Amino acid sequence: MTHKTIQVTPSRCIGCLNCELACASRDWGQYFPAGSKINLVFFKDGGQVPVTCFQCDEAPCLKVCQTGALARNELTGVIASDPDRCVGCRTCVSVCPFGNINYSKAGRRVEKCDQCQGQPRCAAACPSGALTFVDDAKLVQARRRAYAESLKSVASTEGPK
Amino acid sequence: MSQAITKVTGTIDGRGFSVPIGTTLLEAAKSLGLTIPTLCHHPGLPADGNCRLCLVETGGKLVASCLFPLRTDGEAILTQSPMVLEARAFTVRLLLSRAPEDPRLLELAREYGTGPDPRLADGADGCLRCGLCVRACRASGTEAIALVGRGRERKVTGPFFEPPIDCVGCLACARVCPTGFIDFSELPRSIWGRDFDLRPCPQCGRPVGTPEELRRAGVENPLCPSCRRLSYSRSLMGLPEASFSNPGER
Ligand code: SF4
Ligand code: SF4
Ligand code: FES
Repeated sequence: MTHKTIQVTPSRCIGCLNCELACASRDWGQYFPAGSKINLVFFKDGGQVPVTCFQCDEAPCLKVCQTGALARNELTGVIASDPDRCVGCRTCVSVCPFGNINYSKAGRRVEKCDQCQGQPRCAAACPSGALTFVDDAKLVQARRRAYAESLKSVASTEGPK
Repeated sequence: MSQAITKVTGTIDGRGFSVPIGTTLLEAAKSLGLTIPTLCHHPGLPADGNCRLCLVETGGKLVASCLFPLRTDGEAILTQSPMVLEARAFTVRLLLSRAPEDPRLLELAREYGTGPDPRLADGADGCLRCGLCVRACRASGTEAIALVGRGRERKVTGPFFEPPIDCVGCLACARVCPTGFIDFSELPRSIWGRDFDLRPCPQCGRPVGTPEELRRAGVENPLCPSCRRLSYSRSLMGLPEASFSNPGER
């Protein structure tokens, strides 16, 4: 099975928050920002970018979790969280370098993107093609580098206002 | 054949199961859609067999299903036999005398037709001595608390019955406690009679965690998760570090 990835094209994002809404609604039946596993970062100097888990190859969160609450599906490469196994120590939250895992006090569990088990609602809800779910033959590391490059080129060609 | 080597078969309440060798009886029952009541079982923590609520009958004996690994074929397990029901009622009675107001135990008491034992009323502090908190603490990388003492004297405590010096204030123990016995506060942070500092995010000032829990995670002075997202997004976009606005704080 090919790994798939949620590809972000920042220049296409219109900041509508539909992705956050779709994500939070899945588990909570309603929208509130902390319930979403994809987050829009708004820049004060203009523009925004949706960010979510990179499903890192060397995932720090996965390394620290001792309860099996975080586990990688070897077929898809996706790291999902099992709320029943989570004891809420929040070590994973502390170690994620990208701030892409959050702990929900209300839900007593960590909030982490699992790509909706193969049907990411955020990508489906994105009206502008800023989020697309695409095949990813490359390694995650290479994927992240490419993503960084795409962001840089966007920044230089279009630039923030 | 590999099937015969790796699987074990038997029945639970007359229904056949075939599960990998070593599967606990509790998991096997769950796979058949049967519920066995549990209190001290947590899927993320090693089983301890402490509360005895999950007792079932096999071969004329009672075993704790959360602990019992299925290894031999042909086990005929009963989860509702008279022996099981009687033992469970007794267990609920004992547990209830520890936590007489716990809604879940009261519900179980109704179900099994029992109530608290008035002779044991003096140990009724709300703690079941189930040890889930101790196991959660250990799994999180700390051994701050332990179950100490015997019989009615047994309790969860730090060393020398003092507030636990090794506690990092992560609150995992309180989150798994089935009765809510452990007093804690998230903001300001306190638990087990100790007050903790909260390290502020160097960028936005919101509290990130106690210095002790951050050190345990191997990070000294991190940004809060939302400033981490901002920071790497800005650098990826080639923007200078700057303050930001997010719709709704995260
Ligand atoms: S908070 Fe939950 S998922 Fe994260 S490391 Fe602790 S047990 Fe694992
Ligand atoms: S404090 Fe809670 S988790 Fe710990 S032994 Fe008592 S009831 Fe169990
Ligand atoms: S759940 Fe098995 S002994 Fe407590």
